Amino acid sequence: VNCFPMKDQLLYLGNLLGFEVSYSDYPKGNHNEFLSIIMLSTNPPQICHGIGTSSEESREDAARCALKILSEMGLNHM
Amino acid sequence: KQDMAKTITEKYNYQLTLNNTRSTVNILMERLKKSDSDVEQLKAELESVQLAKRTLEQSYLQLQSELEKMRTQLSDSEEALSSLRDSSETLQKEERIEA
Repeated sequence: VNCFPMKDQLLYLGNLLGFEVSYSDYPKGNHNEFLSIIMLSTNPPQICHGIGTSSEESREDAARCALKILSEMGLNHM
Repeated sequence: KQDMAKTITEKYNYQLTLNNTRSTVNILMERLKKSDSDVEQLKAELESVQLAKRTLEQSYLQLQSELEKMRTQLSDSEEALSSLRDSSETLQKEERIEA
């Protein structure tokens, strides 16, 4: 069990740096997995996605993806 | 020189952003394609099931009319039998009186 979910880490970072995080969730439906799209109001804005066996999991996966891209870009140029 | 470095970083960041966004677009596109083909398949299934239902309804109606015919035949037969019995009873009575 992760004590610091990616979602919370991202939210914390967003509060700190002043960008918004929003999710749109897609149910499993006829597909193999749940899908979440995450949007960050950074500059440039980011759109990532995550998949999982539940909405909770796909959101967490999307947040992980978002944190990864932020770390690749560095936080100085947002 | 500093401007140059800044521009290069920005370009790199936009490239990263673009690649990242593209992978999300691809996922959405694949999902949409699969949904579309699933809808087509379900439409075809629905159509064939509806066709089968119509055929069954037709044969139900036919069987019902056959049942109705059989009922009529049965009641005709019963009527004929009962009139035969009546006439045979009458005949027996008359034979007894003559004897």
